[in-house]
Amino acid sequence: MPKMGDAMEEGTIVKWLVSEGDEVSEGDAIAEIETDKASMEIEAEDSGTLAQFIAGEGDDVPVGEAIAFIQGEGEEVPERDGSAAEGGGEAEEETEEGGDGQAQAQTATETEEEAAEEQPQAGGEPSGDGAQTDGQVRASPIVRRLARENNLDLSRIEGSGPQGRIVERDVRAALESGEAPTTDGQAEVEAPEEPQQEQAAQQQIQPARLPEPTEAPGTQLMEPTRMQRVIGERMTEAKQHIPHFYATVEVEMDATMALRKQLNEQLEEEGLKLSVNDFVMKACAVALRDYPNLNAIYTSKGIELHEKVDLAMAVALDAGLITPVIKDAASKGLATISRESKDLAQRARDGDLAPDEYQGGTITVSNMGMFGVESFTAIINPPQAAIVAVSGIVKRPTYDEDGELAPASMMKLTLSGDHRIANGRDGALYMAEVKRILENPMLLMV
Amino acid sequence: MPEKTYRDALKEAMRQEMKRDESVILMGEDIGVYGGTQLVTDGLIDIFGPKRVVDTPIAENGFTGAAVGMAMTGLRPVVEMMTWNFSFLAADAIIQHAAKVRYFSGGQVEVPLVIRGPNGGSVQLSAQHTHSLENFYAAFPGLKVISPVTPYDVKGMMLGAIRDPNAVIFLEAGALYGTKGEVPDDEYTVPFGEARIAREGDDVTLVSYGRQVNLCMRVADKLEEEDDISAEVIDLRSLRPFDEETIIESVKKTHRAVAVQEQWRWFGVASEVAAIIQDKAFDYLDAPVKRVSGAEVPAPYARNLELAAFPNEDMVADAARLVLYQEVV
Amino acid sequence: MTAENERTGDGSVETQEEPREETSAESRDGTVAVDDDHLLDLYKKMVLIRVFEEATQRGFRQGKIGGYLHVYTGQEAVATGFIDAYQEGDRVITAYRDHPFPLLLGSDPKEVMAELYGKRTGIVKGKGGSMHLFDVERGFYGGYGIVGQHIPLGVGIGYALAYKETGEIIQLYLGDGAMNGGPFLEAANLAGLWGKDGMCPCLFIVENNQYGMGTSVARSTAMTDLAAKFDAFGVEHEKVDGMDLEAVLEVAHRATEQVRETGKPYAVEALTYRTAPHGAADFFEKYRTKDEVQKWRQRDPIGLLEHKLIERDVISEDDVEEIRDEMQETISEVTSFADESEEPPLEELYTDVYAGQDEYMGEE
Repeated sequence: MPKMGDAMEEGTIVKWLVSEGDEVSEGDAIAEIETDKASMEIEAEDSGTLAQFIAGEGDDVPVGEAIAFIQGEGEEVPERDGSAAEGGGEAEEETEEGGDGQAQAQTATETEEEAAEEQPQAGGEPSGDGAQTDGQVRASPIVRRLARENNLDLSRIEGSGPQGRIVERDVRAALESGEAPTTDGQAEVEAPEEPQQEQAAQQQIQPARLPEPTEAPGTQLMEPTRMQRVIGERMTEAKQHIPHFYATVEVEMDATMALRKQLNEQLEEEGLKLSVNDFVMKACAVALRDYPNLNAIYTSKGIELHEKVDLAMAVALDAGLITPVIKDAASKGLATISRESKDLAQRARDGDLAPDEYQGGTITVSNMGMFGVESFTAIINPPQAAIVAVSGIVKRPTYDEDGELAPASMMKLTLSGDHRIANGRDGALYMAEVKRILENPMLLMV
Repeated sequence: MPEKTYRDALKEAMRQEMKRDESVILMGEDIGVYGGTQLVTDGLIDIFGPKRVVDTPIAENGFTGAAVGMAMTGLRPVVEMMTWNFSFLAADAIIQHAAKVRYFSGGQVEVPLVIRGPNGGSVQLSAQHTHSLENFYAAFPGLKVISPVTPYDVKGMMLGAIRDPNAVIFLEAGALYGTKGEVPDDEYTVPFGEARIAREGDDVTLVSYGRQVNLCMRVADKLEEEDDISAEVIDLRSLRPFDEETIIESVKKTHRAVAVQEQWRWFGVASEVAAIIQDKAFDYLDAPVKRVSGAEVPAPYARNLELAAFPNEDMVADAARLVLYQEVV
Repeated sequence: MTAENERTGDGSVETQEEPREETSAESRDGTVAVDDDHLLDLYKKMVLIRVFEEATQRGFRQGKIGGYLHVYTGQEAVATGFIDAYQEGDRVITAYRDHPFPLLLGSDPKEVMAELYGKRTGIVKGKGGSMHLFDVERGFYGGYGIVGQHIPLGVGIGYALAYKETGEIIQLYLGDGAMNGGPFLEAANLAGLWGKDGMCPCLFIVENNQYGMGTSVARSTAMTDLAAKFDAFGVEHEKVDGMDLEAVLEVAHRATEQVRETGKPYAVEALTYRTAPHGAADFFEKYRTKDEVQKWRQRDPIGLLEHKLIERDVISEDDVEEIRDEMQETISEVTSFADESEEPPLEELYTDVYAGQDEYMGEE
């Protein structure tokens, strides 16, 4: 099949103009062929006997392949084997086709190999930059690198860049403060104890299949903010891995409230006003002195007991939740706790907290009393041992020592404890102690 | 060291090289008797005669093609484009011939040709006389493309260009012919493919070429004064070959970059800079690379419109502040 | 006419020494005569070119030659005649119908065919193909694909030759189609202008084969006397019958001599015809009739010369066949060589982009 145009790749034999066995001379028209552009006649390139058709009418033949054999003097007609003939003036080069195919096959395997090579790399990197949020934490490339190099948990670093992007100065600040949140115990490859579990867990944090948005009228699709995502993931992780147990006590708050009123009168001059929560927080902190195994964090190598109580307080934000920490709360007076908590809460709402101010707590107190909640259970903030849920004060009828009905201001506290660190009995005893302190608030002064 | 203008430094280079090497000849419109519209070649015809300083008819395609033929035959022509805006007429001779003849002759010929002339806008010459063609010519393998800013560089690079056995597109900063700088009297070359660090800094890298380099220098001063930002300014000066390393090293230090070009944004030098940085300094970037380019319009005439059509100090300063995540007023 | 050319000094053009023979062709001014041995030699060269071009066409149809293929079939007398007047040191430049030139200048036909086949043994290492043949050592400066754009290059080469005072000239071939384009006009003007100072020893050889690809001269050109166009540039000119080798020889030797002596350009319009299509893709040739082609086939330059040589008893009919067979065999070897040669190694992709130390610049 001759090439009769730059771009011609194949032609169709429309009609043979001679028959097998005919004598042909160079230049005789021997066939009509058709290409995508036109129909034309092709001429014999040599003279001789047209001994054999190799392609038939209607066949599509690629350029260069033989379509017929013209036998010259003393030439043998090759065996008709259905494929391209050898010898003769119009035989084609099969090797080229084969060669191409091989080259293609080779390229295909090459790309496969490349893809295969890439995969171990992708899998091998445990993405220390907050594995569970890889790709979902907005961070500049240098931040990711610094996180890798310093084992930082980016999910716990606030981003000051556009759309919450964590940028260099945020990480620098975290590193300089020395309190940069690390990924130890999370998804680190170095953690020998539970790497597999943790990693498997990380991968399971998102449910296997979420439904597609319905996009129905009356619906609105909202992408979770980074904070929402982070909180969601941490809470999911907490619920999945921490064996929570719960213990509730009901505290008679009248004594505390009376003391509060008294103190506030005297503090009015200083412009300070103690809240009920200040008392609760101090009580929770003080009580931990007797139950140190609830003032602990669960690490990759075991339970880390802390001497000081770094009490985290839950602050609700529009965007979510944050838990600034009052350091060494057990040693601080009520006034100090009050001042600090107000300041932290305010700055939390302003988005003005430094990383070391919301990282490193050992226990959390979460007060939802102002929302009118009668009781609730909270989810532990990993890696802490416990969280105390504080509900609202409700006036209820109770029985006094004499067995007479009397109104009392009752407040429920519910402890959620990590059963790996403490057991039910510890939890119960601890809560009882908190209750005792709050019902005898003078104990807060010692 | 003596101070000379960009123009004089350029002329000195050509004069010195023509004296040293008889095969160097100049060609162009009104470069001889008239002295050149930018007075770059003024006086050279008196020294070297009309066979070596050839006044051509207005036929860019013809005489540039002829220069290619001369270069193939052992001469070293230096062709002037009265302005680079006229080079489109010679585009075939430059792109299809000067750039490629060596390749499709299997290395049998060399084309030691320099094409030079004023490039870039700024003086109300309107749309047809206002282009900055670095990205246009640097796209073609087989050409070398040079865009010097300082008088020192223009002399050293012209000497280098004439001595180079390849076709060199020599884009002179038309607005800077009168600027002065230190230029040695003796012969020296400035190598191609090496960018110049015009100013050292730590906080942000400003990459540019042509008269925009001076713009960046002014912006750097302003940023230092007003915002205490220390900017590093890189003068590319050689577009093909291109110096990637200097940019990478700089961004590794500063972590953020702004690329500034007079020409339009799409498919420009700044895009190339951004691509290189994200490719080779990705893990050092704190912010995306910002590009500051000319407005997407043919150059207008009215002065205020023209100024608005080119990058200005505020645009560059804002871009720098943006990549530093600082307030942009 | 003096026998020796003052400028070159060494060895004059052979033909000028020979006494005029009765059997030679009538020449224009009666002074240039070509002896029969030489004519026979030139005849063989033309047959070689013809057979070579037939082989390239076959190679194209077999898919072994890609891209474009512009064969010289029918125009052989023009190149053969003018290259006979080539002297060592001269340069030759043409557009893309360039196959005969390296063959006539002494390049190895194997290398030329290998180039068309895209092999590493090709005359430009497989990197140019049919349109970009070069043999700079033998004076052949290419081989260009953009109509008319090589003309300024040729004029520039002329300037450089004059500048260097070598006494060398350039033979610049161009087609009728190129004469309607800007580059020709600009270059011809430069040639005329520089020629005034003797700074352009350039012989323009217009191969007027009646068609710019598919458009006849009549349909594309307002003023069809192509030679006369050179008046506009102050370049002297004449016409010649491009199918008559002896006529061409006469003009060639005289014109090259003149250009060499004066350093001024000169133009010769050779009326010729390509009996093959423009390029390999030009299959239908809708722009001309089969009758027209047939008529010109009767003026085939090889046929014409053959006729003369037979009449003069220089060769016989059998000799003709023998010569053809001989050429076929040579070309057959040439084709096999090209076929069996290897493709260029991949490293060649990056060579020759630049000269000097930046040879491999740009290689990723």
